[in-house]
Amino acid sequence: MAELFQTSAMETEGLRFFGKMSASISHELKNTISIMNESAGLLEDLSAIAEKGGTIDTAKVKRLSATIKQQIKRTDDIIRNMNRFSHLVDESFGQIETAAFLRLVIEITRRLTASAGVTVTLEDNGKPLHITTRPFYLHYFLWMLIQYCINAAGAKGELKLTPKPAGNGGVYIVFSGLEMVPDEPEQHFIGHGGENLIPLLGAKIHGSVPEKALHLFLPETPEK
Amino acid sequence: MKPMQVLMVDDEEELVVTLAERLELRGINADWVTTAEAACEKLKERKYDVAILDVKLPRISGFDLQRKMVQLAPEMNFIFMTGHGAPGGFTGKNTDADLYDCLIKPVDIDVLVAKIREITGRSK
Repeated sequence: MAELFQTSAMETEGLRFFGKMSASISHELKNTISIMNESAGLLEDLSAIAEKGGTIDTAKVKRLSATIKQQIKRTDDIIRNMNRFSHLVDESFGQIETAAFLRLVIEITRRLTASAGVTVTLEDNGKPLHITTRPFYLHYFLWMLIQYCINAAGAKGELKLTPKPAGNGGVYIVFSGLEMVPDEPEQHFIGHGGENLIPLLGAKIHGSVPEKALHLFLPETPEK
Repeated sequence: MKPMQVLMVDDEEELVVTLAERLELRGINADWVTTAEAACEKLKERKYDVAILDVKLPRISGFDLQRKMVQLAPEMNFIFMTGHGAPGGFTGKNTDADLYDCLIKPVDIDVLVAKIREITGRSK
């Protein structure tokens, strides 16, 4: 853990981020078990009616069974993502495939972005783009950027993330669907934890007015 | 006596659909919507005895929605449902969640029905 966090301030910020994601995940799990609880409860109600001589609506029973199965699958997906997210703190440095990593970020933050009324999507051309990075910090910084796009840059409805190859083995992640693109987006993150994360990731951010997008550059390997 | 009228607001559609059906089986007329905007529209159409609101809705908290709904239906009673304890829950601070009586998901249907009857002062 000491190796992962560079300063005690980053440890505090990192734990705060980890806590926020954990709380969001637990909220989503509460929703899935609530749906299963009510579906099972309604099946129980229908059985009680049948025991008293009423008829059973088999179509309804089938629908409720299908709902429970869907929610079990949804719960399994949430737990699998939670497990992958939790393991990000295992190694301070590691290789990632960019699109797969973005998919995890989108899934983990889905409840929070949906609360803001925004759907975050991934545009993946299917070509793997590998970089070596600090996975936990990258996840944290991507969440900062998503928040920035929603709160400061006016992303509404849909925010699209597109990974693209950059020179020297690095990658660009394009955040598109913004209402406004500031001149110096990096400045927004100074004083909010970004001043530590940007150098650690070797990241660079610039805005593209014609595309109404932010471009995040990540190197093939940041300096250790 | 006219059956009780309840409006449920939660963005998890499958949850409110099923819960509404279970309330109907218990003699309570239940409508449901999944957005705050739709909830306010419903209040313009008809009168409800109770609104059951999820604390976390898209773009708005259940508490903020309640403040809007009170303007449209001052006599209506409110029950809140939440997936988890709110910040301040361990500190004793007076957060919205502390001030209002929140039911924690998953909700026990008997507890919910008892709560509806308690706040409306009606046994049926």
